Amino acid sequence: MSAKKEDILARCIEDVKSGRSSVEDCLKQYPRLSDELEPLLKLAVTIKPAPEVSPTAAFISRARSRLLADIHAQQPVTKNLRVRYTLMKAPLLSQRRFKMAAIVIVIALIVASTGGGTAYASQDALPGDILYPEKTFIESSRLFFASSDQTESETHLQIADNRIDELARLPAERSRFVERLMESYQHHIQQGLDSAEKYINQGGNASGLLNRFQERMVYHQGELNASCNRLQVEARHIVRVALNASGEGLENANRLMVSAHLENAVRHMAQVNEKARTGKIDEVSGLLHNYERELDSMITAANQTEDAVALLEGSRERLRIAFDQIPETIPEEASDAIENARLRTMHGLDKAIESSGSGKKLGKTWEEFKFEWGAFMNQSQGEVEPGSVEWQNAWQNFELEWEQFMYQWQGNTSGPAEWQYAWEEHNKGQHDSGKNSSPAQR
Amino acid sequence: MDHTANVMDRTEALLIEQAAQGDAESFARLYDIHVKRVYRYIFYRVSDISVAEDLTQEVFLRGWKALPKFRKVSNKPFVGWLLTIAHNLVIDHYRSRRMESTLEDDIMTADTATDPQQMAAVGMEQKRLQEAIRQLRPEQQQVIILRFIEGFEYSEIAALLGKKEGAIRVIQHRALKGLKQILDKDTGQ
Repeated sequence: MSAKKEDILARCIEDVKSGRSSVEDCLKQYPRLSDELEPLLKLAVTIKPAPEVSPTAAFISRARSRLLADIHAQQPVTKNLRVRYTLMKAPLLSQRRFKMAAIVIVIALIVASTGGGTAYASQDALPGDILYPEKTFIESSRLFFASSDQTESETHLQIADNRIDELARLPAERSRFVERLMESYQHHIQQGLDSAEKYINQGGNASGLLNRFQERMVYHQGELNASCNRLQVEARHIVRVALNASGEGLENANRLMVSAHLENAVRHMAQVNEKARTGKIDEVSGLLHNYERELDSMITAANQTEDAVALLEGSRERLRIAFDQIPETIPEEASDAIENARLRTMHGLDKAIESSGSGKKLGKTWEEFKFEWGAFMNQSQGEVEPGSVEWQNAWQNFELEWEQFMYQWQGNTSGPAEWQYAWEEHNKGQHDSGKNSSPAQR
Repeated sequence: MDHTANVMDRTEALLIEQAAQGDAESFARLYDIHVKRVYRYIFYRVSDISVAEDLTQEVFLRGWKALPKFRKVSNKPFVGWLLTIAHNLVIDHYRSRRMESTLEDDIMTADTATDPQQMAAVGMEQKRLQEAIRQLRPEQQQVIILRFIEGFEYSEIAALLGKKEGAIRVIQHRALKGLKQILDKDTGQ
């Protein structure tokens, strides 16, 4: 009986709210329950939809940027690049809001004009399929309405991903489309990196974005290699060209990563400067910690590039200027910490430049060696790390940290005073690899 | 369902699908579509702008993390699912604040921290009602707000809360009775 009462109340509320009947009409229908129903029904009618209380436009924009930053921060990163971005710069609010609304409308129009499910189905379309033009149109729309250089860069990368996926799934009889696919792939990688560079130049933190480029492009190269073996002979050359372009793109992403960390470090130093000058000493050490973390990441990133020395030397000058801008009049408790950071920076960069400069000159790389002697060498030499360099008939990995290098100083098993001496040209030929080695100090 | 709504639903489904595959930008578009409604739902229950902002932000972050779970439960409207997350966060918020103060203190604080312009829009009568709703049990609050404030159907509320429609009508009946008692007590009846 009780359940029925609740159903009656629900029905009456619905009738009154929809205007099908009045409170009095309902009560007349259920005279036995009218005493109980009346106050509840009248109360229910007074509860109205919430008025248009809206969040501020600034909050909407800020929270959106924060949401994207948090999402990206949760995504996995490679072991080598530890720093992930924590702050993303939002573009002008009105522009973003307009563009986001517009892209929803565009997608909605596409969905409406093609009968709904086709837009979804086109996601898997391949060149030569009826739905493929729709797929590329959606991609172009997303690029057109990209709300920032960062979004644009990410969209280009997603599209490049699509091309690689399509190549992997392309049937052999559609090889005529390979050239167009690979042109599109190279275009989007190039454009994506250009947008990332613009984002860095505007003061955005692009390390997370570039991290994704690095990860995806390593994956692309694996896929392109695999496709080479599968495709018809005439298409292989085209894929090899794209493979080279992908290699160059990865190198560019590595270089941009150095710029991204450098800009972050400079930004932290500018904050250190400001806090120190305004007497907020307690905030200085935290900022210096952030600065040094970026510095370490920058050196790691530079060592992954072919022109590490030039990049590190340029960075050293930039940081020297940043330190020079800090006035001598700042309080002593801050100036000591800043001076220590400056000394560590210059010393660390000098050492990094020294080791990058000499280490790679000592011999052939494993990749060059393998190219000359054939892949069978891989087995006879055992496991060799990518990037290793031949030296004294042994393979040494100069890409790794110094302490991982096994070393023996001829006639002096205690090793050199510092690892960096091992890379000096005049010591060439006096060293050999051996199991008893260890540095006297690191 | 009209054509526009149908198109929007399909668009939303597409965005959800892409977001669930890890496309952050698609999820950001879902955010653009629903942020105001989520904020309004939370603001109605906390009456504090900064709290509403913090919780709104958290709703979407949790939504992103839990998106794969949502896809498995296809009968829930997406915005309703977001509001369920919002509901849980509001409860957590009051629980944590109750550690420091009473519920009455919460309401007083909320009143004084509210933006005058926004509160003027709410209106005094609705404000009194809003305060009364906040004193209901969490599940009752949720049903009243989803039904009367947000305009969901019984079937949708049932899907969101994982209950039968009959159970929702029972909760609604009890909630209205409770609300009546609170309001009568306030006016000294």
